[in-house]
Amino acid sequence: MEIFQNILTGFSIAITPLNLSLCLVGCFVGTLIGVLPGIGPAATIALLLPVTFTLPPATAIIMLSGIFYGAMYGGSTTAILVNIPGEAAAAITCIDGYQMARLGRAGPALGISAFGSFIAGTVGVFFLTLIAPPVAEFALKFGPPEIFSVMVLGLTILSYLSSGSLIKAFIIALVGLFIGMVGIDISGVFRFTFGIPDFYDGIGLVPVLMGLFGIAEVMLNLEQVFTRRVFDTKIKGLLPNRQDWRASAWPIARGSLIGFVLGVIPGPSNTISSFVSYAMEKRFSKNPERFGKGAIEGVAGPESANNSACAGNFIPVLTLGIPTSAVMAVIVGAFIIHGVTPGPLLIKNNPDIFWGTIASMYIGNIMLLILNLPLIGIWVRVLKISYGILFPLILLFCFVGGYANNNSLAELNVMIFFGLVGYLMKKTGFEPAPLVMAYILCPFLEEAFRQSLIKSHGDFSIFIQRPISATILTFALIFIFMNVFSGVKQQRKKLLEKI
Amino acid sequence: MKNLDRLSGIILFLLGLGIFLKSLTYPIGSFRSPGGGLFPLLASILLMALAGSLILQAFWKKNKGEASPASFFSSKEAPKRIIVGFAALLGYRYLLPLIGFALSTGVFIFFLSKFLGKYGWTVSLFFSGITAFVAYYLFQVWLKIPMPIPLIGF
Repeated sequence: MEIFQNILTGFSIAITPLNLSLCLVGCFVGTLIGVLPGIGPAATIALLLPVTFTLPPATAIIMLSGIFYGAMYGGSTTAILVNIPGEAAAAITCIDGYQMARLGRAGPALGISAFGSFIAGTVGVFFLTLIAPPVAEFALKFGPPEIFSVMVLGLTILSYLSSGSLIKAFIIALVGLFIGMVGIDISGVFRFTFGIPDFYDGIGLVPVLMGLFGIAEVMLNLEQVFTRRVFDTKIKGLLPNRQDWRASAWPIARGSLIGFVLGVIPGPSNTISSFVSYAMEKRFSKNPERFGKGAIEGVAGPESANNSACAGNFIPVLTLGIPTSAVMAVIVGAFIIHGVTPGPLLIKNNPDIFWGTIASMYIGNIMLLILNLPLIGIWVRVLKISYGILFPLILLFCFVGGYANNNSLAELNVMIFFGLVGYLMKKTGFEPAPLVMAYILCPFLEEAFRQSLIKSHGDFSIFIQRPISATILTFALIFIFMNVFSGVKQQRKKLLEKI
Repeated sequence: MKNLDRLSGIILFLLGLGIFLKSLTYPIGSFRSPGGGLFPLLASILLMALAGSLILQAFWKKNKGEASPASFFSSKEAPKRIIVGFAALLGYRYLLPLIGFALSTGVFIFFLSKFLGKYGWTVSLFFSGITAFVAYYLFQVWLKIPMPIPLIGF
């Protein structure tokens, strides 16, 4: 009953005119960037962070979350019509979605993708509503050693699931820690500031994110000239017929469940869940040979899974304060910028943000269904905008956002520097996600580490003597050792190749 | 990629070494009472160890004769385009306090459209003019973002 009361409170926050309109803005922008290949939700959220500075924290988080789950809806449109995933999570939708479009069934493909996304998104938020409060309550038992261990586990899993080498992922996470150490530490020591006053408060989150995601992404795309062709078909009959629904019902149900479960795990879980869902549907199908030739199950399952995974992604953030992906790291950054610490106390200290955000996701999913079905024509037109027009505007937004964060030209230097770093990282096989996650977690990780040592009088065994901490660290060790055994290593490689 | 791994391993090892040495200048304290230098010190040791193993791995793979890989850039034109891109960003950064937001935005957008977007003079001029005008009214007039006061111009 209490949960019912809480969710009603959440709705009373989410339906205020300001929150409702910014939820719509978030969903709209999310769909837009989902449709446009070349700019992802992490970069967009980073770009729009400065816009939220004057907004109340709950409103800001509602809008930024809308961008994230909205991008999953938009990503499928590009996959189906152009055979290019607007979002990495929609990559698998290209296979059967594009084939359906070629067979003149673009309408039902887009329709089932939107309906599947809506159903799974709503189911995912329902699971989030049920599961987040007990997890947060359990996490309240965590002391500094457990918090340290959870962060280490989060970083380990994210590194394990980052594409490329595990060593590189760990290295780049350590670099992220060092960036997070710049500035005054908890004991008042100025570290790595090199006498530059702009660094006394640390290196700003916004210029780092804009550099790593915005500028680096544009630079990578600039290497080649983009050409894409929208599949020349009239989109008609967006509503799937009875046979389509019969074929898609179970894939949507399975996708919703698997997406949510995988969404909780750190890493690119939206992408992984869509691949797992596709593989699962192919295995369950009585006619697996239809897959790859326009099977609607191959669109319904993955599209449902990646939307449900979005809701799952929020569990570690809202309950433990641990981001599980680059996008979530940026959202944690948004919480921090607004003076709110995500974690077990969020539900107690800021119920308006916690329940308001969850309630807004139910509303956001309805908005997205409306945005993605009747307004499909707009998105098809958006697809025709040339990248030559888009990239100067993205860079302009990066610049204005980077400067407006603190009205500082020094932050523009930081942004350009991280743009170069991000570009070089991509070129040399270093993923930005572990860096950002470590950078954001650094102050909390160090504080938990130092408090644990003070508590144990310098005894490191505190991390393994306490059962919860020991269990969590064991999981982290399992992930590290899994990489040592070649069989598992091959499996990881195969999984990452698919991603 | 192996050469790149070796190079990035060496750079990261040196970064770790630099942080290690710098950490020693901060109060380290003890494990019972850690100071501000302890955490970066431990993290820098870990970084040096991992960067060292990346270098060794790259050497080992090279000796095993593993196939060498695609070039750093995806096309012949790519290095030029990347340099032009970053030059435009730096140019914009330094023009901004010099000639103001509206004018520097116009120059920046024109430069990008003409030399990277490969549009003609007319399209580039038109697009940059419109963008600068809209950006000026949106950010500086409407949103009141206090852009740097230009040394020259308006």
